[in-house]
Amino acid sequence: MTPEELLRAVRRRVRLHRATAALLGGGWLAALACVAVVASARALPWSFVEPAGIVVPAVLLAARVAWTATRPVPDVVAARVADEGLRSRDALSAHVEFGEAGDPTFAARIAARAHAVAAAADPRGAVPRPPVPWWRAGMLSLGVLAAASLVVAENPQDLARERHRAQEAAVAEVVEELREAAQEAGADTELGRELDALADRLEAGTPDEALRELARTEAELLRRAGDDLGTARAAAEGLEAALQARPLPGADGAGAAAAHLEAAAGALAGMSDQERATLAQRLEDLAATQAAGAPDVAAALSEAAAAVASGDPGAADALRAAASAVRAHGAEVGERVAAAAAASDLGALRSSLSGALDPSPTGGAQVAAGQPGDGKGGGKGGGQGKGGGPTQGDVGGGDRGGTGAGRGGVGGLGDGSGETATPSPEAPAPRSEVFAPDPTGSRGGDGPMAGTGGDLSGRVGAADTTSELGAARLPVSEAVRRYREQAARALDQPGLPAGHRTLISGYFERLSRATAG
Amino acid sequence: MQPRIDPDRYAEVARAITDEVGKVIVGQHDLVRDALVCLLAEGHLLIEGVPGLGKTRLVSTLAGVVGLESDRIQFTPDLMPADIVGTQVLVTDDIGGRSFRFEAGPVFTSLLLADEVNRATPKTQSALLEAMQERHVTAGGATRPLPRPFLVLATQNPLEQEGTYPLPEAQLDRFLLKSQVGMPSADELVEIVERTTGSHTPAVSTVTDADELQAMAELTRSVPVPEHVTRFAVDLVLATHPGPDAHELVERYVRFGASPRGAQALLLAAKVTALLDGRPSVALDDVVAVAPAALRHRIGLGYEAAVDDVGTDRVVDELVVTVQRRASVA
Repeated sequence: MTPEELLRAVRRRVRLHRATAALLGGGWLAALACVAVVASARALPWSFVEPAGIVVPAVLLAARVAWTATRPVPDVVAARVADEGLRSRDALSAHVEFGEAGDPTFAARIAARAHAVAAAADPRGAVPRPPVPWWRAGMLSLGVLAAASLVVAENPQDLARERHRAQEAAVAEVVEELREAAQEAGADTELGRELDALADRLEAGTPDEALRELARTEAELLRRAGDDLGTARAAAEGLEAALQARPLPGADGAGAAAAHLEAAAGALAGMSDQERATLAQRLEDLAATQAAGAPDVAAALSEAAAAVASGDPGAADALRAAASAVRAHGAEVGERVAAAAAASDLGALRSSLSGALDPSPTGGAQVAAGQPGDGKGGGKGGGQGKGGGPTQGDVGGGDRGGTGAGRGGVGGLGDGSGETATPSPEAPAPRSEVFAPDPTGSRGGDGPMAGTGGDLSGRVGAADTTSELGAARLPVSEAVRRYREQAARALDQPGLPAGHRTLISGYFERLSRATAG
Repeated sequence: MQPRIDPDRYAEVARAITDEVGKVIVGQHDLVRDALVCLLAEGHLLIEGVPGLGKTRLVSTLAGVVGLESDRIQFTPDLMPADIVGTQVLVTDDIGGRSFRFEAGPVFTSLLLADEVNRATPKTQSALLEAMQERHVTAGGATRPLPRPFLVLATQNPLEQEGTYPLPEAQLDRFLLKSQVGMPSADELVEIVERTTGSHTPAVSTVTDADELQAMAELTRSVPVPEHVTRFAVDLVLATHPGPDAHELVERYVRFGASPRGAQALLLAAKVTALLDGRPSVALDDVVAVAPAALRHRIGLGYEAAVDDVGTDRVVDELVVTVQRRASVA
């Protein structure tokens, strides 16, 4: 064996020993890291799965070992290793360092000495196997075994992870629906932009933040819709219906209410006194119907009626002004209806997201029967609301596949909330019975469903027309009883803090007492 | 420049010198080897030991074996510097004219035995300084070179003996090696007694001459030293200095460490060792082998060392192990 061959063999063995040392030196640490990570995954709901806790340290260790094994071993180092191993008194080091090109007095002797050493050398003797650090090897083995056992064993956090994934999916679904709603509303409209921005915020935030964002936006939209939307809408639609059923003199086949008024203004000059008187009377009657829901329209109509009746030359202009007021009112009602519809959509989304985030059987009616407020539930309904007010006629429109977020006083704006009626002295608002989703039944029962009572600050009584009860709905007292039973079962599970048990039990007791009353 | 002698002849002559000296000196292998190393490295040797161990005999024997002119100075408290380097004397010629003539002292020789050098005063000891380092002496306003080779073999009694003066550090540093002579073993002592009390006086032959010794010294200096060996020697010398990263023993007991001459001494002596061993390059082991002799007189120990009975040899040994472990690539 020449010195060069010996050094090659020495380099290989040096790399091998380095790799082994790196494996044993860092392996036990990596194994401990694996155990720590995998064990922590049993206490904390990490989003990663246990194998990742093993794969990552293992890959890092493998990379370190590979790097160590492939790190070049310079000739000088290999020669010194061999000299130390062979106790050759630096024969190979001198050969590598001075070669055969040095001082001729010594170069040949140095080379000859190195060849003599190499010829008699065994690479295994040159690089003896280092002693195995048994405690490290033991730690490595134990760590690997422990980590593997923890991975194989069932992890109580799996459920939490699954729930977390479901929550994320629910948020994603909500975001997608918001995007669709934004597109439907129009990308250039304020509502569309607002819904898009909301979707962005939901994507960026946590599920809980998403819920809060939804609630906040829903409240804002409801504020914009206003409490008197039903009245305003009823007024607008009533005016349209009245004019369709019985057009103004001189406005046969004119179409919309504003067009009727403008047609009448055009025909005013050719009207007889009788016709003027009839027109003035109609305008007064119409003004009376608009007084509650559209005061501006009512005032404009009254003014026009007075002008027509008095033969005022400006009567035509008054009629046109009334037409403008009717158009403005219609546009305003349209915007408010859109806001209310969007709020309703958000309510439905929030309700469904809330259900996804909190799988416990909560939700449902949270108000006692007879109390004003919102009934919340997760059941889907396709209820058709019907307005029962004596002056507005049918204003139903609960066709938005609502979720039982019954909301009294919003003019039967759907969401399966039934309708509310504008109060009238002849029809005092009855005491409502609050319905809630059946906690044991399927979510999304079809069919009309009962809405819940609402509070319109005294103007609208808590109304519940309960036209039909869907299969997924129950009286709130029954729902509370079932919820309480489910909660009692859930409280029996281990791992729940005692303080939470007391809190939940107390809550259901209070709720039961309230609903029983 | 091509050396005038090859390594094989070098080793042969060295072996012959050792064998011849061995005919007279029984045992004391380390001392003989140190003397040979100093001879071939052109360094000076300080020999420490109690009287009667053959120190003077070694020097006279060595002078005879290598065919060098030698002289001896017995250092005493009243010895004056002029007694070493020489002096100007007033001479009268045949016609009555007077002039000063330099009367060379005993230092003008190749092999100078400075016997019991620590019995002279520091002033007189210092008279050797210039000769040892510069290899010339200045007296009477003129500088006069010393013959080559020039080697001082100084002996001294241990410092704890009465009537001795410690050698100044500057002078100590100029000795390449310091050899400590211990008592011979019982067998060796038997042989010594037999040889010195009989009628037969062993005779030694001259195996070389000054010219060949000069060539051997030149060859010594051309021996290649691997870089890691040089680094080891330097690290070893640096490790003798107290400081924040110093070895615990050094930090506790050492007052001052070896000078750069220590590193030079390590490598020069190691080169001779390699050649004596028949190897064409210096190995780390050569430095390790000469480390105690090359460093023990260059390290100053503090009071605590005397209290705890810690000598420089122990400090050097510990440092050699530490630095060697640090330098290892295994």
